[in-house]
Amino acid sequence: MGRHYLNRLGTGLGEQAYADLRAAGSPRAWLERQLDPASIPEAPEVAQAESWFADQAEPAGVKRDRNDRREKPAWQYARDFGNLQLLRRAYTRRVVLENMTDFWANHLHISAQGDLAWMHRYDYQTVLRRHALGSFEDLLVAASTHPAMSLWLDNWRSTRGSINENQGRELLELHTVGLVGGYTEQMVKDSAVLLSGWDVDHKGDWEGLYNPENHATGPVSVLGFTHPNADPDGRAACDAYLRHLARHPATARSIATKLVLRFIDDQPRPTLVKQLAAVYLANGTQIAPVLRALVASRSFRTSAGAKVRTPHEDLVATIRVLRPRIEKPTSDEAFATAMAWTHGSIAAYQWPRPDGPPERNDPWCSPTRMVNSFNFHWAMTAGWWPREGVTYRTPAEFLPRLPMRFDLLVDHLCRTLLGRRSTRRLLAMACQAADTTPREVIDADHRVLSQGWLWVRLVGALLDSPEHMTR
Amino acid sequence: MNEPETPQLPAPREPGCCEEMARTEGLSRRRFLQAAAATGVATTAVFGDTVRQTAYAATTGGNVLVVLSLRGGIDGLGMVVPHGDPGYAAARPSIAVPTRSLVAKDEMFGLHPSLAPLQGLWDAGRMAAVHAVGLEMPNRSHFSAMEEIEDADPLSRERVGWVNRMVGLDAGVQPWSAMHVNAAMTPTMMAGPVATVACRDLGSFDVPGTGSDDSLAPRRRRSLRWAWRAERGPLGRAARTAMQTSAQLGAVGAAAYEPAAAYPQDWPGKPLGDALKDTARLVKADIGVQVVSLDYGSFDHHANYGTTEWGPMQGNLRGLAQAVDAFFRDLGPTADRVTLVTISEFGRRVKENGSRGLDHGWGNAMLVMGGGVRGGRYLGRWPGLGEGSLLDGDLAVTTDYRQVLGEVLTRRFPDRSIAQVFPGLSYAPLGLLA
Repeated sequence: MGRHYLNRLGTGLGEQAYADLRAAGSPRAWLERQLDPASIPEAPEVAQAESWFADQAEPAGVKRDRNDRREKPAWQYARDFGNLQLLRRAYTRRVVLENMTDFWANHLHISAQGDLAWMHRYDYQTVLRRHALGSFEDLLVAASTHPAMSLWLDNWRSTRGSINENQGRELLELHTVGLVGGYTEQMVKDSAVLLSGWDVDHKGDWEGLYNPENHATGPVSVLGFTHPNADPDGRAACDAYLRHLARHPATARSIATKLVLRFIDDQPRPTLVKQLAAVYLANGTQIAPVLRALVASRSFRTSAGAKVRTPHEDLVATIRVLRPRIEKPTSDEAFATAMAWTHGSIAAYQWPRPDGPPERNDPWCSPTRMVNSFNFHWAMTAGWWPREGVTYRTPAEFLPRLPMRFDLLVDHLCRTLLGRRSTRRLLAMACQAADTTPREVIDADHRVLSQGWLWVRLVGALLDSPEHMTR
Repeated sequence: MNEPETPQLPAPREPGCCEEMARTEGLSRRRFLQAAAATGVATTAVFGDTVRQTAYAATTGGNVLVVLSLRGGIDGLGMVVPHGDPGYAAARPSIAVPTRSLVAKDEMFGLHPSLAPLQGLWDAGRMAAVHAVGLEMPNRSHFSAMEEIEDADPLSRERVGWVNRMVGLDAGVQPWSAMHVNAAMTPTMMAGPVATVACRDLGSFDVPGTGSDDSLAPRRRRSLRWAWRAERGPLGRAARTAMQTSAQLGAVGAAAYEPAAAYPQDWPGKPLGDALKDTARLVKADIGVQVVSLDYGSFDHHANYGTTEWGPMQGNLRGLAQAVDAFFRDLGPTADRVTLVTISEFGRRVKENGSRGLDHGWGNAMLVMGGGVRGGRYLGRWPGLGEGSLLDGDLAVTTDYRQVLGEVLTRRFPDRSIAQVFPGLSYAPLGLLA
């Protein structure tokens, strides 16, 4: 059950994760501690990684200037942003917080390469993290009025006389009630009317602002929310509208369904969704009580292995168990930079559409996804690539002692890499891959250790397995 | 709970478990081959110990359908411009495409000037356009409309795409019968019970440790097979398909290729050109590929749609035309086997918005070109852009998009049942193909 918690609610296994789990005493106690992330000292590597990418925190206008001067183009900011988030997930001890930040970043998705939104993307992530374990209501207000969102979904272009429907529609369809919410085309327009006024200073520093001149006034009605909307300053009306949507039963169902897809399996049981939606509504859209109810369900307990790790999750989980010593990047070939290209999938947080990357398994299960994952498992085991800005661990560093009988060595690897005892099948796979028999005694001179190639085949076989690639 | 830092010594295991596993495996492999023989399909024993030549019943020299998805909802009115309808220019004071700039113009329609590279295909009668096509009912959600268009089976709640149903009707179906070639993520149209391939490019099929000069490759394959053989669910299937296809597709990807035409080298045409070049390689390699799917764009132009001089619409269309033109020239004589169709989830609003862009709409246009097309013509019934003809400000749909796909299917793949690929469709061909 401990492994299940780390795989599902956290971001993978690894020594520190197990130590934190053990220190808490039980998985449920561990979760309680995780739900109060300030109580957990953060891993020093997180602050270190932040310092490598300190320019992420530059104000939007500075980033824009540097992009315009071709000093640092937007795509590099976007690449670094994704890498930084993946490194955080690989190192963090506040794993539930980072996992939920990622969950909300997918749900309220803004591409890190978005046309204009890119310059606010890092700050947006910080806002998501601040609210990730709080109430959805506050999160929705903060995200919907953030300049990154205004720029990503065109709300900054809305003017009093001419409304741009983009954010108004996606707010309903993607961020809250979903298509089943039953809104009309007129409600989409009213939704956009309520958002109008949230703008950016596009003639100045590109910071977010509220511009009453762009706010369209007049009565609106959206899914039970009615408002005269007479005040040229529409902020109060917009705030009330967003909170109304957050508390809408259809939103409760859509959030509950998505949490089940993320943390349990791809066949959300209607009774469970109903129960979680009720908990969400009864607790004023607070997320922590929903997570508690979720892990208390039978579905959660019996779902180990039912979720496929996305390529990004696979990369994070692989780094957690292989523990390469990643250094400050000083070139494009350095690990902390090149990792964006190791997994073969869309770069982190660069999904091109407003719906965000999917939570379901199917889309992550193409044959080339498998080949891509196999390739980076091997490259990082062997230390082939990325080569710069990193020191990979030697085979001996993975082993408690030598000599060791091969079956015991495999058992040790299964525990450290996969968080489980060896099985007949895993041992058989290992024997095949490393061309070795179970009773062979492995010492430092044995070919499994002395010929790097066989070690890569052995560890690669374990990482290329369902035990590692599902969670 | 397992604590990996302090491993307990496990009880000694039975020696020879590997050998036992091998026996089980051998048994199932014989069964597999027997089953394959019984169905008349001698499939490559991809997990086997020796590399074998594939011999399968897939049709070679067969027709190929290329589905080019213009993602984001392309403005069909800007791609195939109804210049003869006064409602068009009136609705778009700042972004209408001027009549004088159109190519392949008749009294009602003309193509956006960025499509000029396709004029040769049009004039040769190998390209046609169909207007006012789309879903039967408006669906202005990108994501839901893409699902609906690509599932194309309103009678079933199963998520099975029409391409999956189509290749599934072929007795010799292989995973590469349907391929998505510019993303590793399977589009809905290819999702379903038949294994298909989605890849970013043809260079992505090298399974590490299985190289032909690698003496341990057979062991690697066996180890992988043991890892995944019992894994139900999509990841297990993906792993098995990966191993099954890597040799075949890896060989196509590894072979030197000199295209017979120059593909665009600049953005935004380059990524599409690269994917179409891979498509041409697959067609010429003649390994039994039947449907190739590609994504292009985002055409979600809510703002700054641009004019014929600047902006994303003209740029994206130019890239499209350059890449598709190069593709058909590269194909040379094999072009007769290949039919290309463009599709998009919805069209856009007739009237431009305050951001000089276009919000989500309904009716759209499709381009059809290549093998079998009776081209040089605009087809479909034009509903008009007058106030009374629009639905919520959008171009009405007079032709179900499935009629276009259905006609391509019927003409180019006559052995497939249209009733099974597009259930519930009352087929009424437009006379688009010979």
